[in-house]
Amino acid sequence: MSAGGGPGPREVFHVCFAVRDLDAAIPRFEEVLGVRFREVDELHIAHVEQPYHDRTEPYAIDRRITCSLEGPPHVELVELVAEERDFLSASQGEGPHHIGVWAEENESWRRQLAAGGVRTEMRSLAADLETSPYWYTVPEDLCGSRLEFLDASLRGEFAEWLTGSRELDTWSHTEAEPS
Amino acid sequence: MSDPQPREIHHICYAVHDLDEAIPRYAEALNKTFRPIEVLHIEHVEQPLYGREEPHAIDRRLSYSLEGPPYVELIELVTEPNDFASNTQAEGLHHIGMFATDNEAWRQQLKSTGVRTEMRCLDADGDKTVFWMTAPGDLYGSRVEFLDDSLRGELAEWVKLGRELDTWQHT
Repeated sequence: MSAGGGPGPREVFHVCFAVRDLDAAIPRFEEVLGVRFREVDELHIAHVEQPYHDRTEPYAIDRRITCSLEGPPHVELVELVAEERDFLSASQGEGPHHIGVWAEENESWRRQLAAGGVRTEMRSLAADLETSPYWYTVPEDLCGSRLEFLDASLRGEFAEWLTGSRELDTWSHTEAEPS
Repeated sequence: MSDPQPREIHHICYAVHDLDEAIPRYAEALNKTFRPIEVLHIEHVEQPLYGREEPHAIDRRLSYSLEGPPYVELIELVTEPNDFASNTQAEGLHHIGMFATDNEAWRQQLKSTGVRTEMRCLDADGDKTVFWMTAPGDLYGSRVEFLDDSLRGELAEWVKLGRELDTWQHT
């Protein structure tokens, strides 16, 4: 496979660190990294599958996250959760969690990597319950590293979310008001 | 003195047990091309967190992606237990690297706020802080490498042209 082509990733969008207490961690990361973070978002994700954690039926999760205004690559901070069977379980400990990269054709890229032995740890689903805005690789399939692949069509939505001018409603559709 | 604070991510580093096996795997998953493996000799390193305060030399096998910044760095873990890249730690995302305008001033500034130095690399004369890493325990389990801003050109030429990194080597 030649680098840079096909349905695969193009560039790194963010580097994510997982912490137990987001509010306590933000000022520390701002100080050490010299960046500023946007307001903490209580993100509702309507449909998630976590096949690696034996949760294959779509269900909803809520996560507390923030992202640096500087970037890309941005610095993302996410709060760990008490649930054991979760890609963000506190049982894994604090520290570097994943990097997020854009994929031009996210679902075909997921299938291509699956054919090469890279499994899906979690996958978010859009309102149609078919397309996937983003998904994570299983760390043990890539030398202990977790990658998040984001559908490249979401670039604009993310950019506006960073500035606080819109919600990430591609996957929070249950809260959308009818127009 | 100019503002020494870092602003941008230069590279993202993954630590692996077997670099030769890892490179094609990462190249595929990240859609990147990696430069040939290099055995980097670093003449003066201090690792105070591991009781190795005296400067000592280390050799490291590593590779960088040609695409970047941010570049993807792969480093091979080592058998020495008292080391920032010891194989007693798990494979995975090891650190992010950022440039600091005045690296030693930045190190001292962070030290005053409780961020310790896990390792520090000095230049060939043993005077200047070329790069250093924070102690993960002081930043929620995360490790950051700060590189002196004066290295920008040298690192870029190393990645793109294969020029040797001689700032921290006796040549």
